[in-house]
Amino acid sequence: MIKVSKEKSHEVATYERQVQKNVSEYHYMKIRLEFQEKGVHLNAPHFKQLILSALRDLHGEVGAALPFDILTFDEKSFSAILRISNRGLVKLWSALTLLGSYQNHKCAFRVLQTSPFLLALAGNSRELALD
Amino acid sequence: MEGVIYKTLSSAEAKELNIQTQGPKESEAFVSAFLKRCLPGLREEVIQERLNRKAVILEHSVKQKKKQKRKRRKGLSAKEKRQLRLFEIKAEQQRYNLFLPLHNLWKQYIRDLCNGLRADTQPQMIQTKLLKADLHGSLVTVKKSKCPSYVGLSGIIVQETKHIFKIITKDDKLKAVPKCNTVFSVEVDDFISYIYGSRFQLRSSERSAKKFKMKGSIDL
Amino acid sequence: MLREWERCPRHLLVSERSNFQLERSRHGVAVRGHPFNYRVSFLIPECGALPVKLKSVIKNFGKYYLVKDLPLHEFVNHDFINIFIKKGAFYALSYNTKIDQDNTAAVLPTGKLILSVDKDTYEELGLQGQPSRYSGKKVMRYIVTIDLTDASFLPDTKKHKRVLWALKENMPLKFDFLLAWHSTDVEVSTAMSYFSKLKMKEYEPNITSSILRDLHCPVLQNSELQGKPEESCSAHELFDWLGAVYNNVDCNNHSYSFISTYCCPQPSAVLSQAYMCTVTGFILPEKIHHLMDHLCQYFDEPKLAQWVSLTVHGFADSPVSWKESEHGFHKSGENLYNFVIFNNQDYWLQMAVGTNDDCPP
Repeated sequence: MIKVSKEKSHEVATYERQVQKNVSEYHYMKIRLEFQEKGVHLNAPHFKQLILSALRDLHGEVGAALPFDILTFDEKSFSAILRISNRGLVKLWSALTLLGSYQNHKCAFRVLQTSPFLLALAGNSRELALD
Repeated sequence: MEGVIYKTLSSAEAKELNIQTQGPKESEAFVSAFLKRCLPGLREEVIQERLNRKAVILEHSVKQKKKQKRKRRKGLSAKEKRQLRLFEIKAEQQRYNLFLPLHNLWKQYIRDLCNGLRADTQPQMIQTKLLKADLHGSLVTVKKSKCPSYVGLSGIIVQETKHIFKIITKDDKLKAVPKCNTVFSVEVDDFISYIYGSRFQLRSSERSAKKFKMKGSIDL
Repeated sequence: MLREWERCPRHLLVSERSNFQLERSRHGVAVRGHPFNYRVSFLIPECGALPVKLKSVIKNFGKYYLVKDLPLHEFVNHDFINIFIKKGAFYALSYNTKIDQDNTAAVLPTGKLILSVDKDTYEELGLQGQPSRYSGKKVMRYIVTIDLTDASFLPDTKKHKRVLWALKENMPLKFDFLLAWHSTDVEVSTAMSYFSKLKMKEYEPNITSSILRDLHCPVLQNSELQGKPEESCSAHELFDWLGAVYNNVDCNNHSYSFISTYCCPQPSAVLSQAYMCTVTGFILPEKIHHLMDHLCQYFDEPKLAQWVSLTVHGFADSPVSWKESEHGFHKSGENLYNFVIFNNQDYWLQMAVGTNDDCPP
């Protein structure tokens, strides 16, 4: 990662500014799993297993070895926040896109939001729903 | 050796050989008189010229063909016309009203070309006809352009060149609009056609012979 | 190709450390310069109930309006300019338009109308603009800026006529707009009746709050922006942790856990409780500044907390991030900032932007 930092030391020593480029090692993804039919149950370990199998299908054992974390998982809506290193983002994203079924139930992943900042996922203005 | 050959004979030798010796002037006069007598047709200067030494190059030289003069056309060439400013419209004639009759004439021309425009006429037929038609006198509007300030310009085409439409606008201004990166709209009796200028960069005379191909997507 | 995959688009994080009392303090620039705010959240550690003052501040964040199918030429109208632009700070942002695919429009409080339009619209619109800075070789997006307060932008001038013609006759662009207005001397709701001929609806910002218990919280030291190993956490670590808090991420994980290995940055302390409040809507910078002033005053009385945090999320589809610097949407349209206000009036300011953004001020 490249770090650009500049420090302005004015006559007041308490001012400091730092510009960091590509400071985050991780990308965060907010995703949701959608099933065609209702009534499918899934818990967090199964969810992670599903993503791992998707990675294995597309990228082989190397892909399956990609470390990622499920930071949150909601068992009702099947929505989750994943953390993945920057290097693995494209691999994970492509694996999620190409996944089509879970235990013979047709399903699809929707990537709702991605960001290098976890804080950015806390506010998605595209979700502002006014009637 | 040379000196011996060319030196004048001594008087003793002359006497011996019975030859009259001559001074250089006399001998020169004799030679010229002799030549004149032998070559009666030539003037003295020409003979003198022949006597001059000339360097002769002993090489093969290609004789240059003389350029054939082109047949002169009856009228003026395009360049001459341009120089005479025949293509330009004088400032006092740049008036929209002056070109309205041309526009009416053009409308009539298109109607004739399409065998009368009726509401149920196939738009495709009009398009194929318009493609080959002369556009001088048509009322066009710039619909799209890469340069935003052309958008909305509207007027009668007074001149068409390979790359430019010259149009006269309602407020009597002559504008040159490049065809490249511009989409024009032409309206004839409620039929609106769009001209993609980038595909239209031909002289009007060449256009009538050109076959337009439909392929790919058109952008501007 | 694999190498290409492993590269991530650039993002920027600007961290500043300063004090509110300083004359050169730029907190006002950061807050006022960020016109379109979607969500304001604050976190007060060691606080069980919100002080009454703060409660009234967030209650009075003001209304915002959603006007449907508002034609753009309304903004060029001189009645509008005289009523709204010249007598206050007017904010408008097109609603439900995605800046990476649709046309987007915004009116800034400085009186600038900004259109971010795709190539085809631009070619048809007939208004001069600039190609987007993030468009690459083939320009697919243009930014048109019209200064409504310009002295030469008077009725019947050539410029005004051209803009009016373009927006009214040539291409009547319409958007659903989020509107808000800040004025000190005119009642907002009466002025808003200007738009009553259109379908208009009034909205209040949505407030949610919760109390978090037994929260692992990084230790901060106001003078150490980069943090010190074993002593305090860096600003970036805090920024990450705040994200975890607002997203309800569990920080109690072991390094061998299957699901997640995310942990609170070290060193950390456990807070018995923390008050978290989120306000969502179309929030004016003036109100945020007001809230920030009150958060500073929170430390007027001695408190257990060392610091409070104020986070502001911008609209992902706004054509500007700070001031007039262009904002775009690459993989995400983040433009957000976060204040950490310490009890001695020191503060940290962090501003984060994504790929298609200029560096924040």
